[in-house]
Amino acid sequence: MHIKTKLWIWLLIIALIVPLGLIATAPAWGEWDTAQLMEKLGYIPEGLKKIDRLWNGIISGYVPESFENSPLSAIGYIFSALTGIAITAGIALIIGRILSGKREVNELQNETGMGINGEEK
Amino acid sequence: MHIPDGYLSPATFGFFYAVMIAIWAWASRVLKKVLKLRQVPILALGSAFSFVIMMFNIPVPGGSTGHATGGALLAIVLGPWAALISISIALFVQAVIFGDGGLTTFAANSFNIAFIMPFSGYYLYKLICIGKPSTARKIFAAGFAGYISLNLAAIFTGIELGLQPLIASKPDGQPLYAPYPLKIAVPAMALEHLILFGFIEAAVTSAVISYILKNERTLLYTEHKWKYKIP
Repeated sequence: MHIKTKLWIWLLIIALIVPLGLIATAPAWGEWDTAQLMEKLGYIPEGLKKIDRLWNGIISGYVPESFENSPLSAIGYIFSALTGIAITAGIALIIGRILSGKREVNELQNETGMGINGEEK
Repeated sequence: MHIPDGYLSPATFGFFYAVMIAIWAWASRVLKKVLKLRQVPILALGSAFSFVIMMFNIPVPGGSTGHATGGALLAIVLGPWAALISISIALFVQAVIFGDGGLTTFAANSFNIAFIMPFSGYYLYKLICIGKPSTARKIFAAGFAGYISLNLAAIFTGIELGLQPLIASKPDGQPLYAPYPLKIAVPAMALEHLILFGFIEAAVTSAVISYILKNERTLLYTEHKWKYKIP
């Protein structure tokens, strides 16, 4: 099996165990919501309040709303992981194709006299 | 490390948009010259990996969480410029689709996670691999690059947050955006990454590099004799 296929399989396995990431519920340092800020500081910084939650995302917090606070949240999280992988890889493929200008590796071999894997020809 | 909307003042996030637009433009210039069609699937794979690895939140005592990012790993596999683009894409999807990291702060987050991390990680790896490195040295170098680069990104994030009370406060001294000063923000960000998340990043980086070295060494950008010159 080609290494790339193997790595994609690993990636999908990782996506299936992603609910392990849900065990930690606290926010990261500096990523508190306004309620948590109120608790910490006793006030909400005024500028922050104005642009807080400017955009919540389409699936806010990686768990679809109807799945929140239920055992299904793990499934929602896996769903988000797979969706995210598909969208991220899709965008990267499009941008990559544009940037590569569909330049094939042969050109490069001609330029350098070396194969794709760096071996001497 | 994904700064949400509201934590950076407009002057700060505007500054980072200006800086990152220049860096993204330069990256596309470089990649337009060197990126080959055959490398595109690896770019997509790296981008997706970076996206998903950041979903593994790990708790630290004291009520905070963090995660690995794959920044150094992608730079060793793809080269720093391609890593910059692929991590930026992952951060973009996280912000736009999942509301993780703000829209105003997208450029600042990209600066920390998609620029500082892959570039520092890449050059550290190269530095440790000077000469004819053994496989063991390469695996160590990968882990070390992961550890240090994640910490650098965390410290940059801490500095950006910690500068906010200086840049934007009400006349009575109440901060308008991120509320904690440098002397709190930098140690808080640094400490949790130094004691825990850095080691997770190191383990992930070493594990994947070791797997690739064993299976198909030439997948690594750093193993190519023909790799492009960094401008």
